[in-house]
Amino acid sequence: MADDLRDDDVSASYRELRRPEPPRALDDAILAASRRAVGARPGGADGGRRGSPTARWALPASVAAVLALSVMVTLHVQEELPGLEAPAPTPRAAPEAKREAPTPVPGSTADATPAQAPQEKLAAKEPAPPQAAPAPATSASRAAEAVARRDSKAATERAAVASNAGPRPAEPTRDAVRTSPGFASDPPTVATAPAIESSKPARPQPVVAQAPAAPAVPATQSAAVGASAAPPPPAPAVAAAPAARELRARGELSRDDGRPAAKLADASESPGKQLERIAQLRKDGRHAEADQLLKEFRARHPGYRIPEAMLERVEPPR
Amino acid sequence: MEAPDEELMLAYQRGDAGAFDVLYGRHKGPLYRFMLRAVKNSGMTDELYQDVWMRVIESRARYEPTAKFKTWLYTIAHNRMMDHFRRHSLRVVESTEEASEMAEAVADASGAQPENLVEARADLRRLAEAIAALPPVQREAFLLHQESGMTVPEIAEATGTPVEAAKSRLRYALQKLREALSDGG
Repeated sequence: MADDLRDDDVSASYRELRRPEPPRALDDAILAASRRAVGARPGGADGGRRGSPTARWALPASVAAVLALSVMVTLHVQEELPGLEAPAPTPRAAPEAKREAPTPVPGSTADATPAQAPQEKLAAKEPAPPQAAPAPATSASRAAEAVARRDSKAATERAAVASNAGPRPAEPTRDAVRTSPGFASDPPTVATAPAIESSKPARPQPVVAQAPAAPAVPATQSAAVGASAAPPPPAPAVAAAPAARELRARGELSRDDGRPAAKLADASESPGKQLERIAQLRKDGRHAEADQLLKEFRARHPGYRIPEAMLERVEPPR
Repeated sequence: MEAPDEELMLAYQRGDAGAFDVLYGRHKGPLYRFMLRAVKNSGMTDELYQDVWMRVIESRARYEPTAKFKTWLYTIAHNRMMDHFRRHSLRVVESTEEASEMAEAVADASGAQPENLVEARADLRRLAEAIAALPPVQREAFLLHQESGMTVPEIAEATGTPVEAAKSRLRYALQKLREALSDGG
């Protein structure tokens, strides 16, 4: 450097001046920023080659953990709730009913379908009461369908059981509509009708409302029995159906027996009542019937000891 | 042997935070004084000073050792101060107060006699006032020369001026300061 650009006296004097330093806080802030810069972005200048191993693997590890967790949760949910796979049966039953509606059934569906629609809506809004038979049967069949998707063997067995017990819920409904237009066409509707109408005066069809448990199945079964096993009675099967329903509702008729309820009703009575009935017949002078019933009674209850007083009343007069 | 600035900066470029600490320790005082005596406002100086270092940190990826680190650092400082002056339309005002502050802390550990101390204080006050009275470009050239030990070409590079202009600024600055000191004698 040239001499005119160098002055030792000036330089010495300048060095004696106050020599301030940056505040300590400023130093700390700058140094912290410098560390953050290389720590936050690992090796920011060289593309992340020198980042710490933890920081380098943090993102891939977190992504892998999230994916693994998602798969586990999905599998767990599928295992816990297999019914989610089965579609809701109600929307499927409705198209079936619509599909069946145009089927040419003489004198039945044209009137029944419009009446059925609001009843279905009502049934959809109001859940069936627990004592109603059709609702559990329907839910059971839904559950059976859901299980059948997973296990075809079990489904086959259940289907066999279901076919023995009775037709599927949707089919008897249609049969009932065809054979007995005056009846409620839909089991849930029949089941809900008493609950809705409970506070109102009885309508012309209280018989149906009193027997909500088995509206359609007995009709179909009794019709089938009448067609195949026994000669058709003069009254149509539809006419016999209400009586059978009533009896079945009271438990006086077995599920698979369509015979008249008189004898079985006698059998279900207590021996004392049966004897009372025989005594009444005897008193009325219907001795032949009383004899017959007494004979049946003794055959049925061979060890029963008839009290002396009753014996005098039921035995033929001497 | 101490590592050169350029090596330290390259090390910091690769993520070595300790290298930056060393680098900062070397340059913090001279840079701060250079900026303080150029801006003449301690509050504003702190802000600009921190901003300069933040730019160094953010620009580390673009640093190439073809240039000296010191020149690169002071170039950033020069540009930052020019932006500040331009933005605030500031004119460098002569400030006797600043000159007095500059001259206050005189090294008194030399054991000088009181009359000599007074004389030394007077000399330093005159020097401080003369520095404050320098035209900004001359003051900048003088401060770069004194604080960072830059040569004329380095001053020219840092300030973006031709070498001759930088040489002329430094020459005039020294001449005025020399005169100020001799006036007291």
